[in-house]
Amino acid sequence: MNIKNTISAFTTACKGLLLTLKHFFAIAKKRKSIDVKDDNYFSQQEGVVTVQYPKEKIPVPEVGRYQLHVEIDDCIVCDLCAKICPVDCIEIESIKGTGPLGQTSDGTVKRLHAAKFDIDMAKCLYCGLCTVVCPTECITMTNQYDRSVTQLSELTYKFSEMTPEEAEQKRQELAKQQADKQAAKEAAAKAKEGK
Amino acid sequence: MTNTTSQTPYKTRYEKLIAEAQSSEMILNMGPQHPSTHGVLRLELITDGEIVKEVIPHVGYLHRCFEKHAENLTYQQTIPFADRMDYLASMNNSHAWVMGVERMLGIDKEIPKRIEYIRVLVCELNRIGSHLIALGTYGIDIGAFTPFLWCFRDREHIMNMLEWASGSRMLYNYIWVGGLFFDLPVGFEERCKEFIDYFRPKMTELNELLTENQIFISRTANVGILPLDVAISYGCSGPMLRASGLKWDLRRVDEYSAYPELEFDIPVGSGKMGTTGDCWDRFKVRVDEIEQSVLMIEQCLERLMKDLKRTPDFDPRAKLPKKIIPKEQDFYLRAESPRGELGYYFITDGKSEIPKRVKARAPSFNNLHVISEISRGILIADLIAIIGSIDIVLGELDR
Repeated sequence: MNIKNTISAFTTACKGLLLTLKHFFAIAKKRKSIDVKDDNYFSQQEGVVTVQYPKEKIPVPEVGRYQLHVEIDDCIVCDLCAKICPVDCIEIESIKGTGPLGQTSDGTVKRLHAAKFDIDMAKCLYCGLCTVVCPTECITMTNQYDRSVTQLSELTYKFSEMTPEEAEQKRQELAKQQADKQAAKEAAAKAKEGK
Repeated sequence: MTNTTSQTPYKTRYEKLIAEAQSSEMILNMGPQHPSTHGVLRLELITDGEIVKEVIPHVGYLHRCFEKHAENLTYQQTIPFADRMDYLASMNNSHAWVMGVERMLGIDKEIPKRIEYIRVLVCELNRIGSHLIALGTYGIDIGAFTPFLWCFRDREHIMNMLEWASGSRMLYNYIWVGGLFFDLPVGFEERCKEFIDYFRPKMTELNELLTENQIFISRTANVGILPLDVAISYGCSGPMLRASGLKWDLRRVDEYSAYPELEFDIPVGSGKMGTTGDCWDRFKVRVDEIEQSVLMIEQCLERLMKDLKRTPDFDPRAKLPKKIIPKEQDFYLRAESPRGELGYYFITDGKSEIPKRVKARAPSFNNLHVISEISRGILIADLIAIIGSIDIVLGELDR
C-alpha cells in the first residue's frame, strides 16, 4: 500500500508539474484583456492574464453600474430616486417655481427648482434602483469608476447648479407670489362680503 | 486563566470548557484574521500538543443586520441586501428571495418561461463561480497554489459575462420580483457557449493537477469524516450532506423554477479514496456539481436559442407588480444555494409593503456547527483541511 501510494504520488506529481511547465512556457505571450462583447473573447486561451492596473484596465461594458450621473437639466425634482434608495444616499431639496420652468428633453414640464441634489457615493450600494424609477431618465449609472479621493466629503457629488443665494432668491420669489395670491384671495373675499 | 469557583455558573458551555482546561492543554486562538478561515471566523482550540481536543467557533464578526434591514425596507429594496449575504453566489440568494415573494403574491406561475430559464442560467453560472472559489481556496489551504490562480482566471470570465448581463461584477441585483432587471444582451448565449467550450478542458486540467494528485488525496482522504446521521442531525445541507452519501438536492426535491425540465444528476460522495463523507468526497462532490451545472447551462442555452428566443417586444419588467403587498401569512421558502439549503422565512401583516419579520436560514451557519463534532482528536493541520472543505462564506454565516 505504501509503495503503491509512493509510486502514485510520484506519477501524479510529475503529471501536475508537466502541466504547470506547459503553462510556464506560455507566459512568453501576454494575454490582452478584451471586452466580453468582442467575438474573439475566448480566442486567446494562454498567456499572462495579470492586468497592469492602472496602466491597462479591464474593459467595462456600457451597462456597467458604477458612478452615478444626473443630467440636472432633465430633472423634474420628483424625489422618486431618493425614496427608492435603500441606503438614502440621495438628498433632494426642492423649491416650487413661480410658474412652469421650461421643459426637459423629453417634453415633461418642470415645475420645481432643485435647490439641492446631493449624492453621497460613499453610501451608494450601486444597485441601480434609482435609474429605473426616474420618469425622465435623468439619473443614470455610468461605467466610469475609480474616483478615489482623499477626503470623504469629496465623495458627495453636488449636481444642483443653484448657488445658495439663487435658492434664497427663488424662495423669496415664491413667498412673494404666495403672499400676493393670499392678498388677492383676501381682497376677493372682502369684496364678496362687501356685497 | 480565569479564577472561578464551582458556585459560579458559566454563561455558556464553552466558557466552562475553556475554564476547565487542563494545565497540559493550550488554548489557541485561530482567527479572526487567519487567512485559512476564509474571512473573519474565529476558532478557539483547546490543544494538547498537536492534537485538537475541542474546537469552539465564534461567529458574528461580519454581522450586518440583514434581517433588521429587511424589516425596514420594501421587498424590492431588500434584493441588493440579499445579494450581499453570500457574496460569492449573489444570483442564488436573490433568486430564493424573489421566489419567496412571488409565491406569497401567487404570481409564480405567471412568470414567462424565458425569464425562468434566464434565471436558472445565471444562477448556474454563479454556482460554477462560487464552486471554483471553493476548490481554489481549498487548494491553497492544503498547500497547492497553482489551482487557486487557475480557478480565479476562469471565474473572471464568468464575472465578465455576468457584468455584461447585469451591469455589476459581484452584487448583481439582476433577478427581480416578477421579472429581471434587463433581458440578456444580444450575443450573450453565443458567448456562453464559447465559455463552455473553453471551460471543459480547463476543468480536466484542474482535475489532473489537484483532484487526482496523490499528495492532495493523502492530505484529504479519511480526514474529517462526517457520518450521514451526524450530518442530518446537525442540519447540514448542500455538498456537505451529499458528500456523506444522501441524494438530497432541493433543485430536485422542491422542483422550483425551471429545474424540473432540466436533466441533471445529483453527485454524492462515494468514498472512492477513503471513507464516505471525508474531505476528499466533499471536494469531489463540488467538482462533479460544476460538471452538472455546465450540463444545465447547455440545456438552458439550447432552449433560450431555439423556442424561447429573444423577441424585440419581450419586456423582462412587464410582470413587475406595482405594489408588493402579500396577504397575511407565515411563509418559508428554501432553495439550493451552492452551499446548501438557503431559506427565507417571512412573516407578513397583509397591509404594508414591508415584511413584519424575516429570518434567513443560511446554509454556512448550520454547516459550520458540525466542525466541533468532526474535529475532536485530530491534528491542527487537518483542521485547516476540514474548515476549507466545509466552504463557508462569512458574509452569509453572520448575515
